[in-house]
Amino acid sequence: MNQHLNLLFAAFGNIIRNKVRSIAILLCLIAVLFPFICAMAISEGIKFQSLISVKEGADIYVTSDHYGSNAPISLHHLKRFQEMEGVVRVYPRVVGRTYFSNRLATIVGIPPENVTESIRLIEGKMFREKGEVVIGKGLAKEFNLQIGVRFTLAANPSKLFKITGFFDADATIWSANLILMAFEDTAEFFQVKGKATDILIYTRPGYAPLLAKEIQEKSLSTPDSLDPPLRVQDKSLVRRYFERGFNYKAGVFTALYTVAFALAIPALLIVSGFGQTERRKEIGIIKATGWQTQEVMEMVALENLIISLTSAPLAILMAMAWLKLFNGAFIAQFFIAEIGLMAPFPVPSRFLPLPCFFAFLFAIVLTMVGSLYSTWKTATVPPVEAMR
Amino acid sequence: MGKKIRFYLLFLIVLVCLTILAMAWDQYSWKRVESDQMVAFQRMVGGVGMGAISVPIWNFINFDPRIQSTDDSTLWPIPGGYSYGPDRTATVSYFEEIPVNQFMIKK
Repeated sequence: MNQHLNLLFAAFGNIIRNKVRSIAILLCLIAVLFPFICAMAISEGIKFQSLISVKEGADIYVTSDHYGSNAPISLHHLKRFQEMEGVVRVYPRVVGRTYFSNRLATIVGIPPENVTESIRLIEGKMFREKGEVVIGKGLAKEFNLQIGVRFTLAANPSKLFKITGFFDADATIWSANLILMAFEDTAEFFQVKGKATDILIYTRPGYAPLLAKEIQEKSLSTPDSLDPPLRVQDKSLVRRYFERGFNYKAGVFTALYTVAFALAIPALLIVSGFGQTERRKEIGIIKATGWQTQEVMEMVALENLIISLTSAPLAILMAMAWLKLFNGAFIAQFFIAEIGLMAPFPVPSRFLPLPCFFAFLFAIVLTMVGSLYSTWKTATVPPVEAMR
Repeated sequence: MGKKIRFYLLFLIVLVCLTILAMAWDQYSWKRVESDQMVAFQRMVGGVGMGAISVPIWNFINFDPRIQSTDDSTLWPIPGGYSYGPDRTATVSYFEEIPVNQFMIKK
């Protein structure tokens, strides 16, 4: 045990003695690990928000199916869905898009009775009357909007809106450029009466798959009907979207990063040639004083462990500071589309233990690959030759 | 054990502990979110938004596949070609809608 401890202290001593080499390797490792940790943290943050969206969403979403794509659904289906056994609540919703000046915005229309008092706005109040809207913080900030401003949008200039409140930036990344209004207002604005983009059905626990099947089968069993077929999405399907979407994306990123790492290994091998002569002499001297090859190898491995243990936590803390304190300035736009250099909402970032452990693992693999072979080669030659 | 080695060892222990504490704090702060604004907002709108994009540019699928589950950007400009959606990684080109001013304030 004492021998291993002594080797550990010798490894510490080597790192401190070769300051320039140690700092160069530390900086290289931090530069490689920092974007990886940032990406993983942002990915996990969005995944978390997305999961809330799935969990708190409806049990069943019903739309029309036009030529293989989702299409607006007629409101006459509402009554039929309400009467089905196991259904707790049914309401129509509109989700559309339009330009707000030169900024794309999401328009959401919901029945006014959906509005809850627990929603916290940074300013103003929720919509109550016809034409009133609540706007996301991103739009409000960009166009310096104030409560009470009246405006129209080119998609329907006859529809006048009045701003009554601004969403809290903490809501979600999707509420930053969102305009929320009453369902009737969206119908007037988009000039589509008697239809919704989807009908949301909330069911008693366990009823959702059965009801989804029933709605789908009934829709397909009436081919003579003038209505187009319905498209039914239940929570399990939405969960599949979520799982596939995020795991695939994160998987692609990890794969690309692994390739980058694979390329970084030979690069570091070359870089580690910096200080190689000194290292050869050191090994030659300690071998001449009676060290065994395995002891030399152990000391170098411990050096790598210390360097990795220093670089990985430093990279994690730096990534955390950048994402939490500077809101991921310049970096977040590579992972969240359409947010610009400075995100108008708090960039979601979640630091889970596993990606952080991977960062440490990457660091140790990188340093081991870069040093163990060259050390073994030097340690197995006669000390006189190594010192030459 | 030299003074410098002792100092480095102490620094390393503090660094690792600080990182673990920071990660634990982060986990705790996300736990609180469960009963927070995100939940209230998503409950109110019936679930809006799923992907890593803040607005439904090009197509809705990247924004929320519940609203449009098909990637219609693959249907044009080259039918059957690869997706030009900005949320798709590894695209070599980026075509953007030309924004026009459609915002009119009424006094």
